Amino acid sequence: MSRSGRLRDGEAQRKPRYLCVSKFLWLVAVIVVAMMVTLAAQIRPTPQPPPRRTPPPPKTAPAPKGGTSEPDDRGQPGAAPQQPAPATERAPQAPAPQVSADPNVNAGAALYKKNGCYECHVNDGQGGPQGPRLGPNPIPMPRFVAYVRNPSGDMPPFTAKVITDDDLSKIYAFLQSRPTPPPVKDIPLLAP
Amino acid sequence: MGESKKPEPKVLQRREFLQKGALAGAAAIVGSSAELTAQSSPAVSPAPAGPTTPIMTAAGEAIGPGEVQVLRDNQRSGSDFMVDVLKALGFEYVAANPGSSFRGLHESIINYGGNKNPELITCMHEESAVAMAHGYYKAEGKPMLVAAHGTVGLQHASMALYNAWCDRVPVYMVIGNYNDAAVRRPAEWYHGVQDAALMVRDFTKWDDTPWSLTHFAESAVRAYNVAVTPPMAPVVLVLDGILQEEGVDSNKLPAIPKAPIPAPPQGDSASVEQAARMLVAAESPVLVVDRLARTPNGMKLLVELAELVGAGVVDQTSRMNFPTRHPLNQTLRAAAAIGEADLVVGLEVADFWASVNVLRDQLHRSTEPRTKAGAKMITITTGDLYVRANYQDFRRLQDVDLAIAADGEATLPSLIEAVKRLATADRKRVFQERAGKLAELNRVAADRARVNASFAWNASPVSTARLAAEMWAQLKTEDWSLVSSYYTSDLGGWPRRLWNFDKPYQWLGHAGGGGIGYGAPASVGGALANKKHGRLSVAIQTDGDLMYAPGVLWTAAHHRIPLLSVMNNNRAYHMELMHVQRMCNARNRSVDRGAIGSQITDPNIDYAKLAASMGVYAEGPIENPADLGPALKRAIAVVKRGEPAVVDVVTQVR
Repeated sequence: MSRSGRLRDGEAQRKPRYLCVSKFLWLVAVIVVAMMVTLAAQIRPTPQPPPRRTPPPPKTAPAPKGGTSEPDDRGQPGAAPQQPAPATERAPQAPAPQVSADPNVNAGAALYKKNGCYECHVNDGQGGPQGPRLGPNPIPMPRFVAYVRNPSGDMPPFTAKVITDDDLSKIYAFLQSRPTPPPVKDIPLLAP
Repeated sequence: MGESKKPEPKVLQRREFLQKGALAGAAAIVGSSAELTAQSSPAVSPAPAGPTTPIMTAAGEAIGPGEVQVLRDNQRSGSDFMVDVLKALGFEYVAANPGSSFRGLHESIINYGGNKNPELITCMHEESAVAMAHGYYKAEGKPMLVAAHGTVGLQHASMALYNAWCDRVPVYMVIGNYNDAAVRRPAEWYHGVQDAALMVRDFTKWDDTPWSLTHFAESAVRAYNVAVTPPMAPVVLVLDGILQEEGVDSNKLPAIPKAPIPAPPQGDSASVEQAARMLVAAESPVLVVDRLARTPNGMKLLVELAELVGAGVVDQTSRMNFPTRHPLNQTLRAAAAIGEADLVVGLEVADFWASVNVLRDQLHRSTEPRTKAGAKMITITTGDLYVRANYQDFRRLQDVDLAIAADGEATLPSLIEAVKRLATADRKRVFQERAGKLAELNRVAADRARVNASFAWNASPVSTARLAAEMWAQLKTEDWSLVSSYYTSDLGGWPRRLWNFDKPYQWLGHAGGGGIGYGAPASVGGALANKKHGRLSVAIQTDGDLMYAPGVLWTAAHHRIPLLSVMNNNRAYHMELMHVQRMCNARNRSVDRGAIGSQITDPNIDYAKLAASMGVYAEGPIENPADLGPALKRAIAVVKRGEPAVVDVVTQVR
């Protein structure tokens, strides 16, 4: 190796050719095994509840005006005046597949992550200290898009250059598909 | 340099070795300064001129260095006396990463002092040592001693000192320094400094460099009193290496001052009376509290005041101020409570402006008030007694109707008495009706929190709400103490929403200055304080924070400090990730690269293996929420045996 770390001329040729072939085969084998493991992981059952039925149509709900419905982490009010979180209405109890039959939901899940929505609204759209809950019953699509484009609180704006309406519709489908939790009274750990 | 016969080889005893070490190189230890010699000259035996030791000081020339110097039976080292003083101040522990500039004190602590009161706690980083002392104070209510190398040790410690200063927590720090340049060994030149405490003077309350043991005794007691008198803050004493190491006749030791700790400042009677009138007259008062409860009595007093006037309380939780399930606790609806108020009373609120105003973090930053028009405001805080120039922790100046520069907790008794005097029967009825309405709002908010917690209940990675609920199921029958802080954890506030905090030691507040790396060592410090009380210490430990100085896990294992650390492992510096995304949005750029530089993945860190490598019981990573309860049970059994345990839980981001 030269001091720069590059191979000197002819250095590669000094290696036996069968070794190169063997490495190639090993590489192929490793890739195949990795793909199989990845596929197996994707189809592995998860501790999620059983899949839910087709999500209900969006219900009328107040548009979020920014800020958070919860106090921030220091007990101070949220960063913007308190606004009602998007209303969510309970969908029927239903299984929640990790991989949906609806390609829009799967695409929306990826876009929800890619565009950083999860950072404030958390992995499943359930909301957190920095962003209100979005699913499973998000606000109507037109108001959803309008708010994303021009938020009134601390939420950063997403222009059409950053995320298209089509991508937003897929994210919307993902949010609609979020599993509805069991009633609180049926969760002993949440008893008062 | 003269020539003479070299001494016979001999096996060095430890003290001889230490003193040989001090003699080695170009430095002559004897008679480092006129002042020191004047105080400690009886300890120095005139000895034959050393053949290989250069004489570099006037005192040294006068006396001449000895080949081997040990203390006579009637002598004690300067640092022995320092230990006497430190014992008199009541320190239980001294957290330290070893350093040669305080080797004299180190030896005195472990041998002369018997390594008890204070007991030396071996730390793997000076920042960890100070943060441990920070957490210890908040659980125990008294300072822990920290010893550190001068210069390099203090540089390591500085971030943690800044946290403690911002949090107004007394940390008592001693550092070593060889002040006399003529006696420094070669390595001590890198550590030697003219003004050792200068670099932290902007964020410590007081420091001093004693030049004699009398000076040390007075400064040590003064430093303690300064540190624990509100507004509290860290102090630093610079201990000269020679002052530590030289001997002094036992019958010539100075006395240890018995100066009492000053009483904290209370609000003046006229201002307190005015505040009471405003409280009694208000229709919808709210008490906003932050660093109010200095002692366990602080929570009792706040409960009494709130119940007396039927006022809601918004707890910003820098201290354990108010029970989370008290009907008047309005923290879960803080913005609404402040927005409805006609009187906002800030009690030791670090950032009162931000409590009553909103700053919108967009490309163009705008502000607007949270309060309704005409709302009156009162502040009672020691923040008005202590403002420094450089570091900007004093925040924006809020226009208030009455500002009382005093300690909040110390002022509450007189405020309560004044309210009792002024409250008429009619007003008491109003207070009662108001309290009933607030209790109902509190109940609704708590119910809403439980519903919110149910979303993503069975998700993997584990939701933070589920993690908090699983922990509470294990803790609620124990005498527990959550020793971790917001900056490292609190799972987006879920413990405060789901757990019943009603004891002063169940929550220790925040880091203060926002310096990450505080959480893990502060938790160990809090757990150390809780140990003798038999409390079950539990920390919600974030991944990024732990990786600043994970060696503190070894400290916990080595000293058998029982602590359950449950990892809130979201594999990111998630808050920073959100900030970067905000910048992407503001610049109208794609946000899909926003995670670069903020995620802790590829490879994922195996915290269970990390902990196990340091002798800590560990489980994980846990991704299935159904596995959590049993894992927590097993880990708690270990902690109850007196050891630390780590349960690594891969969690959702918030």
